[in-house]
Amino acid sequence: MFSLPSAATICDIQAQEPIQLLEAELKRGLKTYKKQKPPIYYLSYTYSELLVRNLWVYAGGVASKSEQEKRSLSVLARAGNTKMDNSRYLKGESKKDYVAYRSMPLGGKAFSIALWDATQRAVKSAQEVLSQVQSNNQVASERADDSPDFVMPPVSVYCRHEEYAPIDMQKIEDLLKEASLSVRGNKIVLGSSFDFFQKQGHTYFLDSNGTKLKTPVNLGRISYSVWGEKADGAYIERSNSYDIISPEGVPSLETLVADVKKSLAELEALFHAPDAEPLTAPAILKNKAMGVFVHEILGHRVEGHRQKIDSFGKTFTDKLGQQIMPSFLSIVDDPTLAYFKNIPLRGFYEYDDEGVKAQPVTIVENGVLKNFLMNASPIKGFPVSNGHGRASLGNSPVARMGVTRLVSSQSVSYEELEKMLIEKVKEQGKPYGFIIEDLSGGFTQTDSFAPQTFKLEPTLVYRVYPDGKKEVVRGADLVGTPLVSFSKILATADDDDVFNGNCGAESGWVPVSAIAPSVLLDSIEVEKTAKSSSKPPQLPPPFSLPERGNK
Amino acid sequence: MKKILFILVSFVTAFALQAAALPDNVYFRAMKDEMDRTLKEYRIEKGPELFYLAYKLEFNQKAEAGASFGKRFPFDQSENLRIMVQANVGSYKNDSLGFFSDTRRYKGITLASHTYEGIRQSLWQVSDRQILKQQKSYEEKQAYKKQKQIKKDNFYDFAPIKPSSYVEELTEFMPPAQDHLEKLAEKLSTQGKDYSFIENFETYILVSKTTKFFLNSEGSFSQYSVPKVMVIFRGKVRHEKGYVFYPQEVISFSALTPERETLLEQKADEFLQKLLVFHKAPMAEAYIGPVLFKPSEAGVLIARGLDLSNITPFLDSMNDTDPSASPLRDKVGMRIMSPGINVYDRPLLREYKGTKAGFSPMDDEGVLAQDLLLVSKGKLKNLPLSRRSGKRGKSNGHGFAFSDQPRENTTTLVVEPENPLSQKELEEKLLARCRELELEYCYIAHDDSLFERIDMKSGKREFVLGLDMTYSAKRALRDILATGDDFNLENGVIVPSLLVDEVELEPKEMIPERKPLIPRP
Repeated sequence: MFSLPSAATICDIQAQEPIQLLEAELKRGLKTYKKQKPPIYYLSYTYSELLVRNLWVYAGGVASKSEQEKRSLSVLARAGNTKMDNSRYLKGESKKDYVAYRSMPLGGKAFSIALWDATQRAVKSAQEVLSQVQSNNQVASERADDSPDFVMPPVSVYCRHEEYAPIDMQKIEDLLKEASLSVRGNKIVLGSSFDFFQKQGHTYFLDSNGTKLKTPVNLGRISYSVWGEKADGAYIERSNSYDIISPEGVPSLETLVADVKKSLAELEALFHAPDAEPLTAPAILKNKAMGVFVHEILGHRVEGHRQKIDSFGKTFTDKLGQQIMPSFLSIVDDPTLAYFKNIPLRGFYEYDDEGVKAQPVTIVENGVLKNFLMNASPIKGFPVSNGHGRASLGNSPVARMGVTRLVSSQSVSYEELEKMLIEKVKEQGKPYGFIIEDLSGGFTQTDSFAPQTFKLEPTLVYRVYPDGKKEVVRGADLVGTPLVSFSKILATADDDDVFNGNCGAESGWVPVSAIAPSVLLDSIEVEKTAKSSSKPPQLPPPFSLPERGNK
Repeated sequence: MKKILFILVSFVTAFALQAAALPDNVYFRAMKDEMDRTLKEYRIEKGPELFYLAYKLEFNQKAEAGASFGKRFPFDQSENLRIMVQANVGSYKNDSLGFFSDTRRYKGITLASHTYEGIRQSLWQVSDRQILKQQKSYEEKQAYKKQKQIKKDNFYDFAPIKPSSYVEELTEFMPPAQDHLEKLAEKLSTQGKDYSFIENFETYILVSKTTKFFLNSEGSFSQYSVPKVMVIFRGKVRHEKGYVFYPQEVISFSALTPERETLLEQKADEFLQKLLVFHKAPMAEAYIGPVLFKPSEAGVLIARGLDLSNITPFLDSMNDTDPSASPLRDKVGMRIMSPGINVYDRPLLREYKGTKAGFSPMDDEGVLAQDLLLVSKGKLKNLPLSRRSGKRGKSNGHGFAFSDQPRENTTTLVVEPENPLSQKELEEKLLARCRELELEYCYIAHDDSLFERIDMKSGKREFVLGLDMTYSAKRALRDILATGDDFNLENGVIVPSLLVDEVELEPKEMIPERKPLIPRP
């Protein structure tokens, strides 16, 4: 599945100016840093050169736009030794390790001075935080998992340069302006937003272990959302996005307008829809929604570093080798996957943010928990990284997902899955079942002091009656617990699709993908969504009546 | 003195062009149409009437270049259109404003798309929330007045006025070319490379233009632009004893010219000299006595001591009295400064000696701003007034702060002493006073907490560090012994050096930092 874009070339890492400057500064100070008390035993630099473009359009015009070259640096220093260093989570306190972050001047001596300044800050902070870790270790209770805080990543040297085909910004602006006018005249829409975001460039990584990397960064997205509000305060929204890594990926105006019109029809259906009632009933989670479900409910709970944090809920820590879902299901996180069905995957990367080569990790095999996602912070039974240490610049990496895929060994067509849903509804004597078409997000409790529950916020839900009739409902939230929910999966369809998104956690926002088929759940609990106390605007939108025209 | 007055007059005549017709552009068309619709169609059932609506649009355009030690940072260029709405319900006699409730957090601002349709949509959305907020505020204000037994008086809550206008022709934003700005930033920051004790030296050049459009339901409107160039020097210096300082200097112009670019090179050099002072100057000890405030510090003193913002206290559901109201509001006729000092407020001043001033030809209540004599021979003569000033008088065009509730405020304060002294005379006066008090040293306060210490025996002058100034600004205004003639626009005030009779200087609690483990490259 993985293929390098055609314009990419393998380059000479030593010929890269940023690598030369980073290496020179690292070499200049490393001996001294290692002699300190406590010693700095590991140092890494992550430097990125990116062109970042933002465009926000609505009502046929630009609300804001910017185009900026960004040159940013993160310096991570580790004080102490691999057994105990400044990255450790303090018991009863928040994590305090520190990454120095700053904007960088363009090369030369100025670059080196800025690098030196950031390094001094990182080193100083690492030493200070280590002393806090040491005191905390003296006074806190014994750790359940006393694995080392760090394992030296293997040495990698890799250089790939990518020439990006330029995207015509005027064309994008015109496209979004034109598409945004297709909302005009709709009485339900209280607001809309059409956006373009692009980040292109390269990231350089160098550490004291000898790893030197240059890898491309290429993310782009066109997205839109339309929203409204009922008199009772119920908020309704539909949105869509298109991931773009080359000019060919930009949707045509016809496609975009057709999708907006579909979203408007769904918004209108939601506006007139009845409120959901609390009920436990069989449900289909459609493919993209299921992708989010796997990511939120299981994915974050199998991130390796969490298994040794004593305040973490540890739902799966002791479930290795045990059946945690039906045997026809497997889950793999494979960041080396660049495309799926020609859709570019945002979660793709070649090396993680600790310089470890990305690799596929089978988390669940035939329903049995096999692995955790690991960064360079070992846990019991998992002494090395499997290339999942990720962070946004300015944060220290932890284990995160990349491209998470739910794979089924026995699938039926989606039509068959719907028939099975209706059968289940009849069998359980329920008035109706649910199809969860789309999820906007949600939250899941993973701290040990709180119940290990989740709440997901669908944006489009259908009731499916025993006679096959479908009806949109609004204000339905999904609630449950992880172990029960996965055991309730009865069947899957053969309609795998991609959810591309951004995931936020303690190491910042990272791009992720989730691929899943639609699944049939024996039952899921639906509860009512909270409504806003504010009422919708008293006057209709100024252009809700087409005859008002434009000036 | 004559020089100041000449500059003031020249700017007023050049720019204060009045126009009666609403400008024909997308901003005013959108504002007018949405305002007409809202006033015609918005109905508050069983509630107070919407009787006043005002819109303000601010189109911000900016380009920013930066550099460190001669190498550029990424260039930044952006633009946005901010929309603000002010609504008032009830009546001119009894309205919803002038009251703080728990809804004060909603500011009524959003970004808008740059089309007729986009502007109207944003105005519609923000207006609806503002009107709802004012409805709530009105009910709460009535309940509060009843509870506190506040009786009706003959003054308006919000005084009606005749409409007025101020319109300037719109011009295109033409910042210098990106390459030119980047090269200039590099040039200004390059000199620091040769000083190893300078750990960081950055220069930023921000060129911007804000075009403001105002329209209210009474027919007042304004349209004008405020161009601005801001140059920032930022440094990090380690003192020989390990203290780390982060000096900064901000220079603002209304435009960048070749002469000013040359001046900036000189300023960059002066800033580097200042960094050298922070590296080597001795740490000073405590002091009580006269201090000569250079214009940069004098501007801070005047702004603090002559606080004429918020003249009319608001009713406040959280406090018995409004803590934000000006302490000078009831002191008209009293001496608040040393005799022989006059202070004006000049809202029509665009710049002074090239530095951008707080140009505000029309206030945020639709009243043309007027020049004011605030302090005459040391006595408080007039107050800045808004349409909410009630018993204190009619508005003189000083109701500002659109995003929240407009309140009285000043624009550019101009200090005009009757007998300014030359620098030499002023310093002689300082030294004479120190001798009279039998002091060992005498002090001159510069910006960035930098003090010049004069040894009274040897006459030796040197910069010293590590002092904080402690004084009551209100008291200090009455203790001004003399003023200089070195006028500058600093901190929103055109002010010369001021000699204050008694100020306390206290050593700062400072902890030296560990030296870098390896030297700077």
